[in-house]
Amino acid sequence: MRFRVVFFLIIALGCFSIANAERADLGLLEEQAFQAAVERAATSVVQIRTVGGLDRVGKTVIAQGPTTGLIISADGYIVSSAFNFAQQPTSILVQTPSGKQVPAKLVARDKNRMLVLLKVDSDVPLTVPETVPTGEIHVGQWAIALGRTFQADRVGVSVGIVSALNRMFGRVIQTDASVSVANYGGPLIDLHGRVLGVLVPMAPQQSAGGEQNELAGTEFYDSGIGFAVPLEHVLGVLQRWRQGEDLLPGKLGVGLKQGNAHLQSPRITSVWPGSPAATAGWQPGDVIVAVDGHAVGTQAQLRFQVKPLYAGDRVAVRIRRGEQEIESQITLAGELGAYRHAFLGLLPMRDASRGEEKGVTVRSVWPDSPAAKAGVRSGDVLKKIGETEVHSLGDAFEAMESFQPNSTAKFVVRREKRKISRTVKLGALPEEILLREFLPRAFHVEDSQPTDQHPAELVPLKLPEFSAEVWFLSAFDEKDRRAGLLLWLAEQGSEEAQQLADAWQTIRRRDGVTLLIAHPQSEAGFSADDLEYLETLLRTARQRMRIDPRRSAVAGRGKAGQLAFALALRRKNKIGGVISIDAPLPRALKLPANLPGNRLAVLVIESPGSSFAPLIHKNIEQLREAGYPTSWLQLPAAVHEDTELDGLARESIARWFDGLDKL
Amino acid sequence: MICEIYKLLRCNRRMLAHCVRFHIASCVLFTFLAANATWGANLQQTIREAQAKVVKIYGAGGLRGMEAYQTGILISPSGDVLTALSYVLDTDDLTVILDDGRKWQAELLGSDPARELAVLHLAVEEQSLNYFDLQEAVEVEVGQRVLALSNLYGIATGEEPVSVLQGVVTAEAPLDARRGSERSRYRDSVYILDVVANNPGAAGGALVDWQGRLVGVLGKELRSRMTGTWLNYALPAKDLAQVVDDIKAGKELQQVVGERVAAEESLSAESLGFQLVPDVLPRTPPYIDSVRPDSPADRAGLRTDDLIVFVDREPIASCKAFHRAFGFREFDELVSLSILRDGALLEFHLQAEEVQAVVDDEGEAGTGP
Repeated sequence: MRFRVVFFLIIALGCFSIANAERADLGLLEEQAFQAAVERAATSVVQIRTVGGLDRVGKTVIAQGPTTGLIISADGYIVSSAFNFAQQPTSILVQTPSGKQVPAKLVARDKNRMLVLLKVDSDVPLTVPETVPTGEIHVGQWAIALGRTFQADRVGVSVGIVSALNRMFGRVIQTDASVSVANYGGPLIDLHGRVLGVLVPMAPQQSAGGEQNELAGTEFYDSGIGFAVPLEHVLGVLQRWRQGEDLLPGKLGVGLKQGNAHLQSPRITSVWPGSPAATAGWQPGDVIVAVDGHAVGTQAQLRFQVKPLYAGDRVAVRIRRGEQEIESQITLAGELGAYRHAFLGLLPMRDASRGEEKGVTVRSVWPDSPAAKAGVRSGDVLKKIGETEVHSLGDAFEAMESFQPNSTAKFVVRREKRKISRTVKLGALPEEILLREFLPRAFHVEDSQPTDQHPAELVPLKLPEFSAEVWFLSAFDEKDRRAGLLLWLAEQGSEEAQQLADAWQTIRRRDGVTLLIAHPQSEAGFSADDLEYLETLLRTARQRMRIDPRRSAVAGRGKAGQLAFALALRRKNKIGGVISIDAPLPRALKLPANLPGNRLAVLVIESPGSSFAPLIHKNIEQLREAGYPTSWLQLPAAVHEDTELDGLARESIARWFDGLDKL
Repeated sequence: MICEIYKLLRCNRRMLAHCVRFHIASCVLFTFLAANATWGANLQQTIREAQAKVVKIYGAGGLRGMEAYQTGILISPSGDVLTALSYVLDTDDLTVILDDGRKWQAELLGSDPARELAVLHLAVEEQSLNYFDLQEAVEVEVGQRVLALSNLYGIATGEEPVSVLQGVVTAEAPLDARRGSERSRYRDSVYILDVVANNPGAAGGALVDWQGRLVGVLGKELRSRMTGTWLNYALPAKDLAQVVDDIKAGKELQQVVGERVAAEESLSAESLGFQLVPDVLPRTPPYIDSVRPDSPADRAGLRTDDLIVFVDREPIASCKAFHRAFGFREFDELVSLSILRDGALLEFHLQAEEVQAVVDDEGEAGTGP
């Protein structure tokens, strides 16, 4: 026993002295290890300079400084971050570790992991770094981020740890080392100087500018959240990548039920025509249960399996249809054809009448539509579309997502005591503006205060943090009624706001539209810098009032119209329509794909002699091609101010707006 | 010694192995430790001692984005404080709170407009303050570990010690930064850090190594002109002893530090024998418009429509940038031009002809043949 005590005592002493000593020189040893590791990897890190291209991408000014790349083959292949080439430079120059400046060719991009592959010709073999096998990377290990921005002859160093693996649905590892423009494209190395991955910015959620935006995720610079694409992966695709074809994210071509991705099962609501899913014969209602043998129970789990894959990759996908399970070999697609929403031909009542059973009451039937041809009448109650029971308007819109134009759909309406079932060939969303006679009132409930006040009583809306003036005119006095929202971007001052409000006074009550008038933050008028403020405004409006997102539109003229496009295309889930007056699409805007969940209708208004006319006509074609129903309205006379729109034009806008919730 | 333990314990072999391993390890480490006795023997102690030399400064400001506080370091036992020159000092009511909570009204002795540094004085009676001796400031290497001590975000108040952040030196590079669109006036080397050290209130704080030795003074918030991102940096402290002496002596200091000086008789495209296209755009690409036969440019192989992209590896994006770059070079300096021609990058080394030749030319032009 005594021996035992002594023994423990000595062990304890030993531990104590080790702990003490470790604390003392671990710091120094680590620091020496950092420097040795940096030295080993530095010869594979190159400085890149680009010449020409854009000064700005979107609203971001691109700094003109040098950026970083990583040598991955002795014969001159270099990988870098797509961010460094967002400005589409005309020439790329690489300074090799020997100090020589050589031109580089951009071989291809990886639009799934936001990398680029460069090639330089070198007369001497370049130093290829050692790669850490992805399986060996573990959370908590040291990770050092290297860049060659500040100086050409020395790498910049930031030290941290690996904070997570398999981030961004299994595509990148995460580090808390400082990652920014100063090292995007550079390597993240371990303590032995071996490369863990290539540093890139990446956005955690689907970002506003789209996932394939080179600038997405840059706002997280130096925040303790940095990402790196494992080098092992990069080397794995090099053979394919060096052929010169861009690597695109692989797509199945299905729309899934909206909601929380971590709870919702991957149930298919729509199948893109011509997509891999369509080729495999998948149908709305099918549920994806496994990808390459990995069971997927939620949409998030499905993403973990599919997001890392590229177009052209083959996967085995198992779906469940009723009792049956079907496995298909799928070749993922890069680009899907434009999605188009299907159209039945109904306008719904927007509130339920008292004592009514569940369903959607038909307000009016669109002339010459599939519903009209099937004999549907106003007052019928829509009960079922396809296999989906329709209890609410939301159900009806969701049910329509499983169909395409020209597909055949069965629907059931109740007329008095009878149930009527019809099968029709669906159409595409119409672009014509309905005549007033087809637009009866959309509400069962009468207004409490039917007379309008003159002048209209505009209420100011205060936005914290923003100085711009905002006014609104509520559609209803009752707070619980869901209204449409027309956000008008008005360049001029409050006087114009009043005139606008007076002009819209009657329409807003009749059609149930809340008018929101926003002025620019700067006297110079609207610019891309106002986007953030307008998004905040929309958010605030949604919190304050009950708003129907399908009947929310944003309108503007000229520069404000361009901004309206930018805002609407960015927030399609919250905005159902955009009205542009004499405004082409913003030049730098990449038209996002039309998606099943979010419907966006466009009304292009053109005044005679508009200098943008040719551009606007081209835009209409582009919008239609991308699947957005685009209506066109020619004004009889030129307008120089929003208030100059005559009653007729305003009435046309109102009728277009009133059709936003067509089914 | 090991035998003694063995005798003492009479334990089995496995236990012995444990003992031996531990003991050898600790012996080795002890030796190592002895050799590096000063190396952060106690990081806690180091931090505590360094914090005692850092002060919290309260002055003008207080509006959003204009915090009314910053940080300073004691640089003499008698109450001299080095801090950042900013609007915070722009008041008669400047309060400095020491690490132990003692509070002083400070007097502004002077400032350096380029480095944006100022020296304050506290009327302390005894010469007993803890301070950083600027003469003993050290230099650090890229990758070396450092501590940034400051009152960023005004977290510490009264007798609370200032906040400590740890990181490494990312680079030592010339400061190429801006505040808004205005370029910073100090352009010499700074330490760029991988820790987000330069937040509101941090300016004037201390950068020290893990032995607590002063390395630099944290700068004000600036954006890098290279990356467009906020910079984390410190002015090297090793040169500051002289600067402080000059400030205290009331010397007039340079308005800009690290700026390149224009050449006395500068190099020009003309003297090399080529002309650029007319500069008509805000950023006209510097294409060569014409090359004079038998000039240095001609002999080197420059051609019309060549695009100049670098002058001695400095990127040249416009005609203006080209003329500016040449303006810093003496007439007879050897210069290397990087040219883009049909997508290929070509390097040329040029030197103007003898001064004599040009004088002759001019003479001829003046008098006629």
